[in-house]
Amino acid sequence: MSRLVGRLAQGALLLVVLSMLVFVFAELAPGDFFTGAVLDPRMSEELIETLRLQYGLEQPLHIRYLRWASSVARGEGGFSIAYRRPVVDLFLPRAAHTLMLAGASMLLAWIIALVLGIAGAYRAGGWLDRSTLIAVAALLAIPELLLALLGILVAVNTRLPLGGATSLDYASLSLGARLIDRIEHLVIPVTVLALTSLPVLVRHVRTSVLEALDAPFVRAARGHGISGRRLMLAYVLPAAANPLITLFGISFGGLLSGSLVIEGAMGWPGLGPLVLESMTNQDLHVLLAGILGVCAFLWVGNLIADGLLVLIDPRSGD
Amino acid sequence: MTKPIDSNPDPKSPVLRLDRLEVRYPSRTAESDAVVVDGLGCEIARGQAVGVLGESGSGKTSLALAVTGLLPSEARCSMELEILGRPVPAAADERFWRRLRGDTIGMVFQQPSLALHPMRRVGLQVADVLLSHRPWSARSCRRKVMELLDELDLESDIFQAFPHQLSGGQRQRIVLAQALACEPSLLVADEPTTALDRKTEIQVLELVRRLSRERQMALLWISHDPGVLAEITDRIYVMYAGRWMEEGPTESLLAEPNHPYTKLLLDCLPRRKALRSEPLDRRRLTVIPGMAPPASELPSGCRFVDRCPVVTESCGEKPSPVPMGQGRTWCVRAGSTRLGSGP
Amino acid sequence: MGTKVARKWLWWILAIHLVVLAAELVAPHDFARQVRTLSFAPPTPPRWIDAEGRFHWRPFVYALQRDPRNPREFIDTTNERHPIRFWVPSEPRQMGPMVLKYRLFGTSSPTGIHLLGTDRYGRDMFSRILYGARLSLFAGALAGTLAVVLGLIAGTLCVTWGGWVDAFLMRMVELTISLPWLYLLIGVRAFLPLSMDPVPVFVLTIALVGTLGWAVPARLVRGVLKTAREQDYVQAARGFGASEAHLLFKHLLPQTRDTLLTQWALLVPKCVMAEVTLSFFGLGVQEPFPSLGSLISVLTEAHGAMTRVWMFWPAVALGLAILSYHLLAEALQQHRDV
Repeated sequence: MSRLVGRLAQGALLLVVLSMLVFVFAELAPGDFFTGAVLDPRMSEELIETLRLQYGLEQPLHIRYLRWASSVARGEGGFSIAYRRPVVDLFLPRAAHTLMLAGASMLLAWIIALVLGIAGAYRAGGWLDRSTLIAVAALLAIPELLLALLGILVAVNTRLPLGGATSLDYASLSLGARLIDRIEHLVIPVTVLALTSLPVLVRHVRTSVLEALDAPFVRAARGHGISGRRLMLAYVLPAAANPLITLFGISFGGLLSGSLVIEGAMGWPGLGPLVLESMTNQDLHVLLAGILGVCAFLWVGNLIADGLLVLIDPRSGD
Repeated sequence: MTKPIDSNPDPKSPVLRLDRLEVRYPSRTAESDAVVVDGLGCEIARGQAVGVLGESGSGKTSLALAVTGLLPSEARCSMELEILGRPVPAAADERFWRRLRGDTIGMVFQQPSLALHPMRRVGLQVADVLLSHRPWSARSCRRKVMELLDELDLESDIFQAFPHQLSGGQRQRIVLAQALACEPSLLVADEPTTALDRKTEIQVLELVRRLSRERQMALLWISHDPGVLAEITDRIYVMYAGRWMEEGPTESLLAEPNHPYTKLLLDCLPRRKALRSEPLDRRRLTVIPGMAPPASELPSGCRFVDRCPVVTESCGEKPSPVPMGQGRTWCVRAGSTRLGSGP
Repeated sequence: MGTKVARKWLWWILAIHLVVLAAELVAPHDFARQVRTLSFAPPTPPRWIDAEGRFHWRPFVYALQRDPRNPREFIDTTNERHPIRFWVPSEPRQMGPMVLKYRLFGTSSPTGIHLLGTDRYGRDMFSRILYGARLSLFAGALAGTLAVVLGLIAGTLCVTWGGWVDAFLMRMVELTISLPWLYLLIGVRAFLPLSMDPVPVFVLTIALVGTLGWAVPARLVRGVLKTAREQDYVQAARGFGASEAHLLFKHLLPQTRDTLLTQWALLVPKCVMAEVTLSFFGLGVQEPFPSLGSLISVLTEAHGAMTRVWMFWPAVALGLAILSYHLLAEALQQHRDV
């Protein structure tokens, strides 16, 4: 328990340090939100100066940081100059969409990877194993961007919708129709994202299970005539779980990168496009929320993986 | 579930009869296969304890794995094997073996710390053996495990323990409990006590000895330590580079070895009495000069020819067994020469 | 066996690079030349058989004209053949230090030869793909090289200095690997000016992508060097009084060669994709300069590009290039395993 509190404090500290770093880097970078506006003939220099003053961009660095921090403490998470509203209002629905996309495809990818990896390792060299390995090698050679394009092509040629998380008439739909609408919008992005993370997962699951099958205690169990489902469930899989949980923790990072590409390419209203947009127009508070959100997501993933490791290993209890 | 080999066929047939066992590994680099075991045969009667004595690398583990069908898939094995008088088919598959293993044949592995799953309660690991072979309920399996633990002088609360919470001796008893759970007719043990300290080792050996007497269980005990085999076996086979060198009743073989290899091997042992009485500078360990031949370049005749102190020209031919007392010796010179006192 | 296959793929990849390197010569049009009347014109394939069914030895193209029934589409003008000629004179252009006065091939067709059609602004897709691929592939190859070099340096530092340097660098490796590389890349990129000039952007992209790729090669180099240092003959050489520097350059570093080569082949496609992704999101070189990424991003815009099949050629080209790198890496890995 104290360890959990320690980890939480560590994470919070990490986020604070990170936010400061982002502020410093943003200070070092040339220009601010209104740099692009200078090119706009409708914006006079005086107007831009007043706007800068209005948003407090002329203040020294520490004042700006403290203003942002107090805004976070109030639960607003800063203020987006581009959208003229608190960052929370922008961030939360976007984050929910990214979580939906990432979570669903993670689930899908892990289920497929576990099934194919375990089945392949159990009959290593069999037809299923070999065809899985070939498919995985092929999938590994297709970049996620091109997979996303293929997904778009599929969407164009089928009835499946693409772009956005819901249809335009979503608000007018009944509850059941809403659910179907959401699922229809999820199908292609989730499939593509799952496919991008699948090859690495399948290979890892397969290797881990193969190693577990070769572990001395599994061979000993076979020597006692323990076999089939009992051997797999009680002996092989627990032994293979350790590296897989570690991989689970690491895989969050790759998943986020993949989801950024897919969100960008398919117009999924997740965090990715928001962060990208805030980067190009230097909407600092939104950018901060995005970066901190992504880091928190990674950190939670690591925390879950660590917790699971402690949970399954009896040795950590003593 | 019917057993592939009935546990109670002809009471007079030996528990294990093995003939012409050959194990070879196809080599990636060398032209010829590595022959690890070459034409071995032996018989173990009901309740009899047979030991296999050999250096590491002599192929004794391959022997143990072959008679339990556990050789790795790349190994090529041919043999004539009868368990309880019923022949094991040459094409015996995993399904055949897994019903035999743990039921008719119990197996004890080298290191108890590696043979137990670190993440599973040891009681369950014993119960798993029973559940795999008996159509019993979980509760009756549990009761049986409790009986076993008691029989092996273990506290009953060990059932809930994980392997890392146990001592080496306790772990070895759990491994024994797994092997003994289904009351096998034959217990195959591959150096099970090597990792234990001497005191625990003797306790475990006495326990096994007692149980094998009580249950009329045959033993195939593999070791590099003549001292261990002297404690527990009735008969010893001496193995070198995949072949028998000599076999005979434990006492006479250890007291008066006939084969030059056995003799040199026993000379290597530090005699406890001698060590104590002799002054420090004269305590010398003898070694057999040279190294065992690699399994891919074996001599055509006697396997020991390169290191034997009493070689003759006829040693280039494959020796056939010479009856010596109640045993046999695979040496062309056996019986014709009394061996000297070594080099 | 493995080396033979690897060499074959290496030659193939080299050939691709040479062709795109000579884009000024090979491309029949300038990448920025707009012909507004030819918006989304379909490809004009080289033909040998004309509209009357006659065979001609010299391939030719037909000029394009608007379909009178459907002014959004184009049809061939079949009354006149425009033979494809090689080494055609053109306006002088700079290619590296040379001034070119020729193009590899071209026609007298008033609408020009468009092997892979044109884009929304009537720019020749084939030429743009050549120029874009040059940028993307070379950015990838150079960034991959940079990553391998950085990894080699870091891995060597780990082994020669050991102690806290080793521990620190390995922690950094873990961190770099567990972070989402794309967010990292875009994050760092965002704090740098969105320069309009293609050359600084090109250099910047290479520096960024290469720096972020150091982690895996560093860890592998460290592993190889650690093992190599324990080898008997290295220990023996040390025993004879060989200096550490001599050992490092004469005995240890040469052993990392295979690992580095394989890593390079694995990293380059990743770096190409990094550049492509940056350009895809508009963070790479800016219009009118093409990159495979910006050429692909056109597909996701709502100008009807999706419905023109030839607009997928950049994606196909990218896929083929990435696949070639993967096959090279595969061959190299097999070579190492045997």
